[in-house]
Amino acid sequence: VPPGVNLLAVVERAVGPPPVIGTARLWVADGRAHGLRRTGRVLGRLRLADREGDELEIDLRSLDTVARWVAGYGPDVVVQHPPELAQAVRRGWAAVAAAHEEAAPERTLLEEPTHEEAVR
Amino acid sequence: MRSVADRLPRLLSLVPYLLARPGVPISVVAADFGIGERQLRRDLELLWMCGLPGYGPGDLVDLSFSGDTVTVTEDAGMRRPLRLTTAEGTALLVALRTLGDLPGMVDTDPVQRATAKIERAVGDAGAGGVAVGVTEQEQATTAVLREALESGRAVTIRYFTAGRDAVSRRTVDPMLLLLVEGRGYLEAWCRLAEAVRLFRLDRVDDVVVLAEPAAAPPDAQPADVSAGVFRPRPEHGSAVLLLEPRARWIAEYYPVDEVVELPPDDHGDDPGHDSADGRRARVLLRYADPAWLVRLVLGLGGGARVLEPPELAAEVARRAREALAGVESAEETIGETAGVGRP
Repeated sequence: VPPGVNLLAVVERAVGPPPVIGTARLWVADGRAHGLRRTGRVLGRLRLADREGDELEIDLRSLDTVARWVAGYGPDVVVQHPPELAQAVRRGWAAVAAAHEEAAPERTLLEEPTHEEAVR
Repeated sequence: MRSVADRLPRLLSLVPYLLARPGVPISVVAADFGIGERQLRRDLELLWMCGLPGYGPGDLVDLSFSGDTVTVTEDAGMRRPLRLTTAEGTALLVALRTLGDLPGMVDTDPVQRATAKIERAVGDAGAGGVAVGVTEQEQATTAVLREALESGRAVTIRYFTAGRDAVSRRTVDPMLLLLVEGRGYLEAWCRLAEAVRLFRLDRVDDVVVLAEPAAAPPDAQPADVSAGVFRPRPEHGSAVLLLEPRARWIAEYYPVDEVVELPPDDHGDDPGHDSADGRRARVLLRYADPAWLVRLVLGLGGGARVLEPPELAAEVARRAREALAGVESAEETIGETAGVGRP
């Protein structure tokens, strides 16, 4: 082992959970995204685009991992902070929509999903 | 067994204790160690037989009795403090940490105390302790569940079911703590499901030990986990996914059937992965709840495409578009509110 190399620290970086690099704030719809809720802290009630929900704070370790996880909840979550996470999640959804374009061709502008549908 | 567990530490502590108090009355020693004088004499007689290899005079612990007092005249090296070489200390640490990280298997408290002591003793070589895998919460959960198992009590747990993305409170009769593929599980009779269930310990958010005894039906069969925890059932659905190279880990992480390797996409759909391992794959993935699969694919940013069944693919597309629309309307709301100037 070369001098000055801390082997244990190397191992920890390789296999341990990455350190917390910040926190993310999200809106989560009422009764949804329980997986996110159980790891986060509810900051308060928040109504967003006519949908009732909570404002949630979660620890941010890896942007990619959190983005993947958050994106899975689709319209039941909206990332408020940080902007990098919001962008990553949004890009992810756009790519998913593009990959499944053939399966369900996008509706015309006239048939954009309404809030009632979104709430459901 | 109990007596060995009690007696060995007592024998080990007797020598330094006696060394520090030459000529101490036997009755005082017995009182200090909380044992009878007869037991103490038996301990001392055994100590007399103990020592270092060679086992000649001078190698064995020697005691002198005078009336009702006892003095150690030869300590066989037990006065010397234990010194571990760095290699010995590190080996012990690795072993202890492996033990301590086994979720559910070990009473982690003494393991951690021993780890901390040796870390301090080893000094720099052990600095920056490595904590891998098990969270404090999981350790606490495990400790409570072990207690319930030992005392034979039922427990109420708050449990997160990842498949359904739901949290439920249920009363279960603990049967076993077990370790499968590096994860700790509680096997218990679930009174809600009226069946034996495995609960992943890192998804147990709260445990309350009840006063009532655990009462799993006598015919409750332990789960067969030889082929992993996820057992495909006839009622499970299955989907065919096309995995881009960056989502190939799905095929290793989740139990999948029928992995078909495909040549890389001509359109260069996945830039940066055009090397030899940059192959796409078509897999058959089983799931208990379609919503779970939708969440999985929705999080993969186009890394996985649902080929079948078509209604699941359509659901993924619908959720993705709804999510995008939701972000836009949320931004408008925030923009408007900001314009008005919320108090």
